[in-house]
Amino acid sequence: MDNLLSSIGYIFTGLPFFLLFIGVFSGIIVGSIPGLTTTMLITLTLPLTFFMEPVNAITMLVGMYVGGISGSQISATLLRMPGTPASIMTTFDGYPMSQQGKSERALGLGIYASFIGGIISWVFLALLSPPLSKLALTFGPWEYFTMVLMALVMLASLSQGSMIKGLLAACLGMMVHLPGVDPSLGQMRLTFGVEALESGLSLMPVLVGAFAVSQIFKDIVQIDARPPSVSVKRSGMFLSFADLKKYTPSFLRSSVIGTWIGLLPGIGANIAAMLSYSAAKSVSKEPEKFGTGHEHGVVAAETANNAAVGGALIPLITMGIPGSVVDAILIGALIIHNLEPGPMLFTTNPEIAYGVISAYLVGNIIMFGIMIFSVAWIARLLYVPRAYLMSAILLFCIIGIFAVSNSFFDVYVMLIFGVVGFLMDRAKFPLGPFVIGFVLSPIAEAQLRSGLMSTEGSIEPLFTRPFSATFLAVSIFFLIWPMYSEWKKSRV
Amino acid sequence: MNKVSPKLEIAMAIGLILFGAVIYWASLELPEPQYEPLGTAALPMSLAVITFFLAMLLIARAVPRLKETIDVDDATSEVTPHPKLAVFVFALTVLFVLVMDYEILSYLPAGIIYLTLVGFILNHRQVSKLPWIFGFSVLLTVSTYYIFTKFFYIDLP
Repeated sequence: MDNLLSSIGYIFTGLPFFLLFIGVFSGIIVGSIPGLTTTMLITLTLPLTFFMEPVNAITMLVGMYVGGISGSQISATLLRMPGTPASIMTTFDGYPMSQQGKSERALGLGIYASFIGGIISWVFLALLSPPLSKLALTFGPWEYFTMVLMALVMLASLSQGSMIKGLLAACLGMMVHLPGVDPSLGQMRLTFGVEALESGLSLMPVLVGAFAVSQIFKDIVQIDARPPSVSVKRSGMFLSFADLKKYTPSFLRSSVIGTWIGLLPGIGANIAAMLSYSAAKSVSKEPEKFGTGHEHGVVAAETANNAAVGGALIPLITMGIPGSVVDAILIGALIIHNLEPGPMLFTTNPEIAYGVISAYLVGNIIMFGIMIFSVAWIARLLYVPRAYLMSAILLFCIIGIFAVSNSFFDVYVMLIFGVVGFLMDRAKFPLGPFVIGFVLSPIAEAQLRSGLMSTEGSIEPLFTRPFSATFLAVSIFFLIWPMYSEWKKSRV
Repeated sequence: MNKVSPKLEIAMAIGLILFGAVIYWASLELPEPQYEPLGTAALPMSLAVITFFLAMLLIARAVPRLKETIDVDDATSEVTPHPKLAVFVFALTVLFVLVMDYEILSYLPAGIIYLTLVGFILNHRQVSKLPWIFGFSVLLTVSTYYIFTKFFYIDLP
């Protein structure tokens, strides 16, 4: 408790608060502009955080995460163009409300719902993380290997599109990480005589290429897309006490659904919003009104997608397992700062673990303040000329990556992965399993081989240790279940 | 309904098989395992094999769809897609990096030229916008140069 309180106190000092504010603000802006993504913003900011204190860097990135998810409701409500997939469900009722002249009310509901969802999931984050990290300390190599395997399989099978493509993307991510030093014995492998490959491909150029550069080229293809003009006033955005009382059951239900879904690796905020929306519809006395501008629809979707962020941070800081793509990038940020993500984080670097928890709380409060007072102004940014925006982001990608290593090799790697990411997107290969495969494969390999060394080659502990057997069973279930449901569908 | 072109799926699958084949071939030269049964070559080889089977499965599913009429994303989109624009900007970006890498031009002039050209192309070559684009390019290149060199102490090329 003392650690948490002192961490919250630290966030309120000058620089961390300023960085968190900048993070939340930029997250909201980027999240609100269709075509720009939170993932892109965070990957582009990573090179700049290289020169910051690790705790300040993580604080700012968590702020971007919170801001991005919340900001995406602006374009979802006003234009029916969700800034991120997490706000797809908001379009169902937020946009009809906007069409009925109630855009301020829809945005107000969404902002309050995001804030309350964030705060409730923060309570889970703060209460569950320390005991979970203690439990994770008892894990050995077999548990870690099966946990990474479970994260990869779940992400591949639950990501949008076919499971084959998800698994192929994960394999590609893992293969791309192979060149360089073998994580178990320190032997050099697959360098093809290229000196620059001896240290392997760095995380930064691969991430920036796959997420930022590919997104820019995707947007350039659609450069003529212009959103219709909509104006928003600040009045009518505040909810009354009676409103808050009326929506309390919905806030609670959707927050629990969001946090729980966020906890599971690979199931993002979009699925959380979808499940929460379905749950709200099924318990509603007026289910037929959902999809026509029903306020409960906006509340359910926006509460759950923000709560999912807090839920996804739990496995990240307790076990080093990402709950989503953004979480995988946050793990990358920890690695860049020479920190080891996982249960030891609470022991070796408590300021980082508690920093994430505190930044999430304060970030939600800042998000609420910014959104409620300036959403009318932010809505105007939806119409920023894309030609200038795209060229500026491309320049930032190039000099940002060059700045990290002072090498053009990484810039070429970034451009190559820009093309790879663009092609994967065109062919509907999910990028999530690719990144998580890239980030987690060395951990999985090292843990499996260390486990095999300790048992002299026996794989028996995989099935006899309760946690590894459970994780393995879940992995097998998620591998077979999509195939079974597809086979069942084809028979119908 | 928006579907992916089966030709693109097949091309991606072939690309992945080839990449996996290169990894597999290079792994054959890696040393034998010493302290545990897997060794350093096990993961690359197994990944290459898994990739091969998954890619073949993807091809097998895509081939019957070759004869179908497909509504791909661009065809159903309300705005005209500009794939050539993306290719041209990519080529300019590679050129911009090469020019700095081979020290033909430094960051300041190369950045101004690059941003002006990209901005001009993305604005559909409207000459009337050129002064604005040039002004924006100068402002952005000079400001990033000073931020990186004077604030972050990083030398740009």
